[in-house]
Amino acid sequence: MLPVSVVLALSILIVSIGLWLGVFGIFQPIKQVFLDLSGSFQGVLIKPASLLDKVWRSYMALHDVTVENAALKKEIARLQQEIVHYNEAVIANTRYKKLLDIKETSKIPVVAAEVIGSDLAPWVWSLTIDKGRRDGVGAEMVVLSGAGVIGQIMESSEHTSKVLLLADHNSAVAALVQRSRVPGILKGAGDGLCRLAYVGKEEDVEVGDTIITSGTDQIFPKGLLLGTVTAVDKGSGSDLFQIITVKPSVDLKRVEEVLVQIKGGSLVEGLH
Amino acid sequence: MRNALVVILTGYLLMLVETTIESLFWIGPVRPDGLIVLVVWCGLTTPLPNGLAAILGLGLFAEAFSAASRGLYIFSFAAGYLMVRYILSHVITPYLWQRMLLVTVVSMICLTILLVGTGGADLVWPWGALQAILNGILSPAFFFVFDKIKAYSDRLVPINRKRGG
Repeated sequence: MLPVSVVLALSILIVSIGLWLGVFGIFQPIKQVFLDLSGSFQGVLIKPASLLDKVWRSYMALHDVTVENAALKKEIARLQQEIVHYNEAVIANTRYKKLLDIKETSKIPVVAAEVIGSDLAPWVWSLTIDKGRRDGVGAEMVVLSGAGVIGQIMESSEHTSKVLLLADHNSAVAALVQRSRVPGILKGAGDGLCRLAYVGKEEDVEVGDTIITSGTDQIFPKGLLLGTVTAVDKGSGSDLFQIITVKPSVDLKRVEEVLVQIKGGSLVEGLH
Repeated sequence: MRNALVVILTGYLLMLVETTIESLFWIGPVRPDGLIVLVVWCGLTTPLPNGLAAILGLGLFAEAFSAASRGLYIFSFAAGYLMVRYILSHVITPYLWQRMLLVTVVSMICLTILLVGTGGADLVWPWGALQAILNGILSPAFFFVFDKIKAYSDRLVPINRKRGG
């Protein structure tokens, strides 16, 4: 009996390390079939739960106020995105006013998707959506919701995809302070907030500043809304960088529908 | 082997519920989590090597439901299971409060491995500790459910003791 247990324990150790090293790529198709199967179960489970959640939030918490509030929040989110675009356009226009050859930014097709699950670990900020490779969704594609960016696609199966959210420890996005054009890296803090890292102490960043994508990471297009600065700590004398806390523009725990920006080949199915 | 299957299937159902229904109604880093309680229950009811095989299956399923670093769930669940087996070989834990304490301790170990491995070491205190305590508090309810599922599976497919079950 003991040798079998020892063999199993060793197998577990080898499988754990192997998974970490990513040497089990050969089993990826099996995992994707499993993900698709689980995704369909999650899709079924989330519908009544989501409905119950909506009922709870709208009827139990004063129906009219909630409905009006939701409409206003949508409007604010839309207007915020518009303001960001306008500000960006004004700043770019001023900076490049002498240039006559203005390139028009290419429009990237998007796919609308519904959130069907969250991560098993509550401290890991990721979501599962109901669109996968069949809809053209793949790794490193940008995911948007309401007012701005929420994250990027980590991996996709045929019908589902995992989204790594901005607030996760493993998330990093090349960012820019819209007002002062100070660059930095927006990193997830794991607590629902983000930190704008590698911003020198002498740089001009204030509470309330809007943070947008800088486009230098080759993943997120320039000018997309990321969040707002909520705290700036210049640190002590020996610190090289400021500690800048950024609140994402979207409530990442309450996202229900998202848009995925499709990169690469043209699409037919699932395009909106 | 049947116990192992019960553990894996119960774990899969728990994962489905925790990633869909529970996440809608529970906000924040601490929430009811039956998976580590299931690992402890598996340790209490299923000896080696079947228990370890169940933990391997459970860990592989959990990997698919999470964006956490690969291999972490399998490793932490196995560590939790072996810890329970080791403790059981030295101490008998017949009382409920002892089992609740066991769940809290094993949860703390598993969560520390998971949180540190996913880059969230700063969440070990206080969130990891609070989650471990919550797991301990809720464990009697989860144990009750797991025992019922096991009893139901025993009724469905009775063990043939003459053949050595």
